Amino acid sequence: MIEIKQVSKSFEKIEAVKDIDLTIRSQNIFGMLGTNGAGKSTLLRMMAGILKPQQGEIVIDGQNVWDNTDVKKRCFYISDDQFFFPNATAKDMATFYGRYYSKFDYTRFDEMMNKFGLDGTRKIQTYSKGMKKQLSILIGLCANVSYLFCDETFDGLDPVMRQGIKSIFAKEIDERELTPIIASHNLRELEDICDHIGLLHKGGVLLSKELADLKCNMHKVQCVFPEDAKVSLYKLFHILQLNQKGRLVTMTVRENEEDIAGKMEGLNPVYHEVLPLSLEEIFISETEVVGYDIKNLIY
Amino acid sequence: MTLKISFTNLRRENIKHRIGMILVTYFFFFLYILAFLMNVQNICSGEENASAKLKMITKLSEPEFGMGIVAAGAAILLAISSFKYLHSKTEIDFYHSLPIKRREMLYLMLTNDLVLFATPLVFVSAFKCIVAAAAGYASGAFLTNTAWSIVCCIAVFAVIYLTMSLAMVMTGNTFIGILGFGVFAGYFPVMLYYLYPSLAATFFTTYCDGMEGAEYLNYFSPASLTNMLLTSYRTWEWKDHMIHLAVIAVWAAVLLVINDLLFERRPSEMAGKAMAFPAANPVIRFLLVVPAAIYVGLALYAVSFTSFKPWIVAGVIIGAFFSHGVIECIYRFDVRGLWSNKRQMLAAMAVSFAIVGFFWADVSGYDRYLPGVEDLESIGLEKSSDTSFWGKEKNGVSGETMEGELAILDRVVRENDKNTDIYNNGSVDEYRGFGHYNVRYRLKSGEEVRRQYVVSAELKDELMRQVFNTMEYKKDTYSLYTADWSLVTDIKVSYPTHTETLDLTKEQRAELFRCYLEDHSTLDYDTVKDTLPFGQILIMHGYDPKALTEDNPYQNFAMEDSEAYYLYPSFKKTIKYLRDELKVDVRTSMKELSITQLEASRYREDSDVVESLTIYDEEFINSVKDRLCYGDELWLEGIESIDASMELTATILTDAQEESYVVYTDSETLEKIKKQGTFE
Repeated sequence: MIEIKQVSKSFEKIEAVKDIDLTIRSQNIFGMLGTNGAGKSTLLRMMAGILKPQQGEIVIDGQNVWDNTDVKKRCFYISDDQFFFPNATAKDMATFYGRYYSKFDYTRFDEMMNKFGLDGTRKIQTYSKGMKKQLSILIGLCANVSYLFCDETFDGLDPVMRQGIKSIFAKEIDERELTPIIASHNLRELEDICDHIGLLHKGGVLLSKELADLKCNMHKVQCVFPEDAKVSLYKLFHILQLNQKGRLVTMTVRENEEDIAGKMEGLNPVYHEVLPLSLEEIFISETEVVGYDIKNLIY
Repeated sequence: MTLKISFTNLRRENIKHRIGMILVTYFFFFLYILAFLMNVQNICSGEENASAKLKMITKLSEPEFGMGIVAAGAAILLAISSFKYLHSKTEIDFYHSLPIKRREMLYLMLTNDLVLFATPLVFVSAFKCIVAAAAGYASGAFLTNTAWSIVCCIAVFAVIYLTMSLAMVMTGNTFIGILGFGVFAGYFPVMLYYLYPSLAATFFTTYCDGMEGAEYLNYFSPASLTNMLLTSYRTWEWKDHMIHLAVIAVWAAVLLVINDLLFERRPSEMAGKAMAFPAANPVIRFLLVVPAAIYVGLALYAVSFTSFKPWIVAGVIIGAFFSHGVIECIYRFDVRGLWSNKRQMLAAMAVSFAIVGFFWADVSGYDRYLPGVEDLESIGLEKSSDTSFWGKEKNGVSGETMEGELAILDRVVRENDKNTDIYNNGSVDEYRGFGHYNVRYRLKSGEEVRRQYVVSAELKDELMRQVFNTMEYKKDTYSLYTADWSLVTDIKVSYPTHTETLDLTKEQRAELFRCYLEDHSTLDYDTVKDTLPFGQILIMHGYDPKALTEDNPYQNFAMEDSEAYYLYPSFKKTIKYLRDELKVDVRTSMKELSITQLEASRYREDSDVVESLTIYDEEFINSVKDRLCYGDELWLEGIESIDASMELTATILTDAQEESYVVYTDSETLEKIKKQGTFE
């Protein structure tokens, strides 16, 4: 488990991360979402022990991560622009990492390289951007660590490859308690991978929830009431957003489907329908509640 | 055990990925081997005898600058290649995410680089021994020197490497890191070393210490330490350099601790920025801006070729503004930095002005300094131009002579500003007879204070009458009294109208010197002032390297020098010895010579045009003959009686042929000559 306790980090006058409190449970795929400059990479680099928090601490499995070899042996950081030695081949890099990660699985590395169609003896500088990303992930997976920090790692991967990685992650989570933490500014990219989402904005956490909880507890309701009906919807429902066009009311409600349906029946609407929300819509609603226009944050 | 194996593997990986820079470093060693082989071959194929060749080849094994440069170059390259990852965001993310403690990472690099340097060094040293042995010139001294050479190279490597690594750790950009190394290397021995002497020389009229006085600052620079460690007079002796090795060891230890502390605390996010510890930026900038502003002020004053000191003020303002601005631009990688942190710039400017003001107003009373007689041990007096003393330590005059001298110096000090002004701005006639004198006040506390005064003709006579007749003064002024005579390499004697080299045995030379000094010890100032010497003994000599002192810095550059000892007609013993024992046909006057013509030439007033006057009047020439002094090869320094404001040439008839010789005379005779005709 990763516990981020009151962590702040500034770069000169810019507050990159501000008083963040966050807990990331093990065996979850944690998606860290936010715009450029939201503090995702900074937080991830602090989790990986690269940056030292100015305030607070980051505790992984009960130990502070900063300059702690025991903890860092269980973590692997994949940067958005991973460094490879000039003229090195994939095998050279695997050998290098093998010196630092004692559980590095060379056999598995060779297998996965074959599976992904990457030539281990070719110089990495001749790889495409996507191939380099794949290689980074493969090395990270073969290092056999508990925590994999991926900074914009899935950008540039095609959907098939993303799906493939997702299934590998799922298998790794089951088999050896892997916890991938993925930072991205692309919500759609995370939606099909993550179990838990944290939304960062201006150095703070806007929300952090299980994806399933978010989806189950938030719905879009469309309804039409008789002309003479006087319904106080705000008193009945936990409404996050409400729009009315003529008699058609569309509202985003933070309640589960059964509760909404029960309350609706009591109101005798002419028509009503409870619809699931996409992750995107959930975020739009959640962030608007706290005063942000998500369209400006994510797109 | 696990840690050990892992560390070895990490070392191997570290080397594997820096192979390019390591090869460049090793290429230096290769060039050094080539140079060594060429030297050995040249020596072996030379004409010298076997003993000389052995000496020359043994000399090649001494610690020297060639190997020092290899060590320094290797240290810089290896430190850059090891620490440059700190300057790249991609690389620092990569390295600092690895499960290795920062301190372990630091020591992995330090130890690896030391091994990378020491391995070829030992190989090259062994190779040198093998080559020397193969050439038949191996010796115990060669092996000992080689061992010391290894020690020195490792010392140079350590201090340069740790300085370079510190510069890399403190910065976020490799170019700035190299600049930083330049600052570390040059700040103390260049920037600070010359600051006080430059200010003092500009503002204090009595300052005479030149650029000396702050030699200890050289111990704060890796470059100067390297220079001092590898500099040797004739042969490198470890005993002469133990202090340098000890200081390097201390420095290396201090740098290691600082590197250790800063490396652990260095924020990774500073990769790509100019400086890694922004809190230190104002301090570093201040330390650079203050001396830079002062130097610009002094430089502007110097290039103005005026005595208008407000140029210094303008220079300090310009210097502070630009040095502050340039440093700020570097800090920010933005030319707009020129205008930032104005308050800090003003503070640095204010401090620069305060320092300049301190010297300008002579707040410390430097030029007015005169010690109390109760504090004085002795006073040394010498002409400012006398820098070739090769005798033993100068002790100055003491006792009553010193007290009398101090009373005169009190007036000298009070008149110094006026006399300096006359000397600098007055006409030739106004400052005729003025002299620059250096005075060293040796205090009872052991301290020595030196001042230079411009002394008027009257005060000069008073001073010299006070001290000249004492043996203390003579021993301090004439090296021959106390010098090691074995350093003498050649002796020439000049007398009308010959100069000849004397081929003397050791005993003859000693006897000649004894006779001369016996005569000289009775010489008084009035004789010196009124009597023209008829010739001189010119003594060529070397210097004892062990006796080299800061008093005679020029000795370092000219290992052989010469000094003139004038021959006066009163020097009976010397003349007798030269004539009777050495068979030198010394003439003590030009009276007996047949002078047919006397030509005087001088520069026309305020002009480059030379005008001359020729006298053929035999009667007149005969009347002044005994006041002429043979001038070929004559050193004028120290001859009080001569007036050299005109050039005199005497045409002398010898063996039915005429020859011209340079002659000198006194002021009175010169006036008579001038009245003999018109200069054309």
